[in-house]
Amino acid sequence: MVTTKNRVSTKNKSTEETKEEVEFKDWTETEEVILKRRSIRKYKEKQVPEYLVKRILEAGRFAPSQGNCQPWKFVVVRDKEILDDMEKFVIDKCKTFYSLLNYRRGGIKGKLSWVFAKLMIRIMKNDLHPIPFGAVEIMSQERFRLFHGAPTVIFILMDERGIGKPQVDVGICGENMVLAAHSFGLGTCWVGFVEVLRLASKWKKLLGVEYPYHIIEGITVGYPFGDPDGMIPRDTHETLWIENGKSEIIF
Amino acid sequence: MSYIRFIDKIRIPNYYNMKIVTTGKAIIDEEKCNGCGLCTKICPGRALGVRGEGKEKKAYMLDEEVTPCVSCNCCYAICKKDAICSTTGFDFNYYYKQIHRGAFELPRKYT
Repeated sequence: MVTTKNRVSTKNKSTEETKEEVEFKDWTETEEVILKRRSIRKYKEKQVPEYLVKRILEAGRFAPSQGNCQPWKFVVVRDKEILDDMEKFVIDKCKTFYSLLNYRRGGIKGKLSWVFAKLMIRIMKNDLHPIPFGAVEIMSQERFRLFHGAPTVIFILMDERGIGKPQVDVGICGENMVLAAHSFGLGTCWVGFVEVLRLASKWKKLLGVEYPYHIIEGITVGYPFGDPDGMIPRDTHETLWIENGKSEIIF
Repeated sequence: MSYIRFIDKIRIPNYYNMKIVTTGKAIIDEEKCNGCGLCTKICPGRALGVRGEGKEKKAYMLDEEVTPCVSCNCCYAICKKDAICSTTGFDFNYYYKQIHRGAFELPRKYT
């Protein structure tokens, strides 16, 4: 409960601490959480305590969204059997799909697949980018687990009637949750493949995927195996810097 | 400066053609690697494996030609011996051509 007293005290505090310029010599705590977070793809079996999952959901609830429309709905699944079943389902679908897409094999089948794959890539240009295409391949070979053995999975559903760009709002909300989880020492990984679950009415019913909701992303939550967090080298991106009537490219 | 030509825009690359595709690559320092296999367990593309016996156990890239490596550097982050690192990204060319990218760098601190 927010009392008037609380509000006054926080206001005073912020005015006292306002300075014209503050030097940041070290990474701030928030920066460390952002920079050191890695996607975790191997988890310990230990379940995440309920209160931490709820704290993660709270971080998501307070994410900014266009017009404050909050176009999300969360589904938390913590049953191993259900998660395993979902994994099996997605692997089966990947097997079927990849048997049609695999143009690497020879013969007439390979040639037909080549035509089919090129057509599908044009239709699903984001979903069949070479990287997810490769992911479908390794999933169909059962070399890759959908939820990486995580004990808890948070599904994010999107209300399609959201304001402006609800997909972006869902992304912001998820990122809030992911960063909060990392600050608790938990590991997370975004799983886009959960979209495949919409192909079965069984899963749609269980997860409540019906109008106006769409299943968008899943976030696996668990205690990471080993010590996987840390800063890494990554591509720099060209940035256009426009100032004082000049524009220049920086990296 | 890299840019998208008309041919790039309309052509879907052949994902397995090594003449046009540059896949990610993790460089393994065999002197430092102790073959613990942590990197193979967490690799998102399942691009790494371990071979050899005893002290000669070393990590290696499974499919040297078309690697499923996405240059995420998760292996770099988990490696205790500092033996593995990816310094170049992937580029599938044509429709999926990478543009406006610079060299790999660690987080930079501006003061």
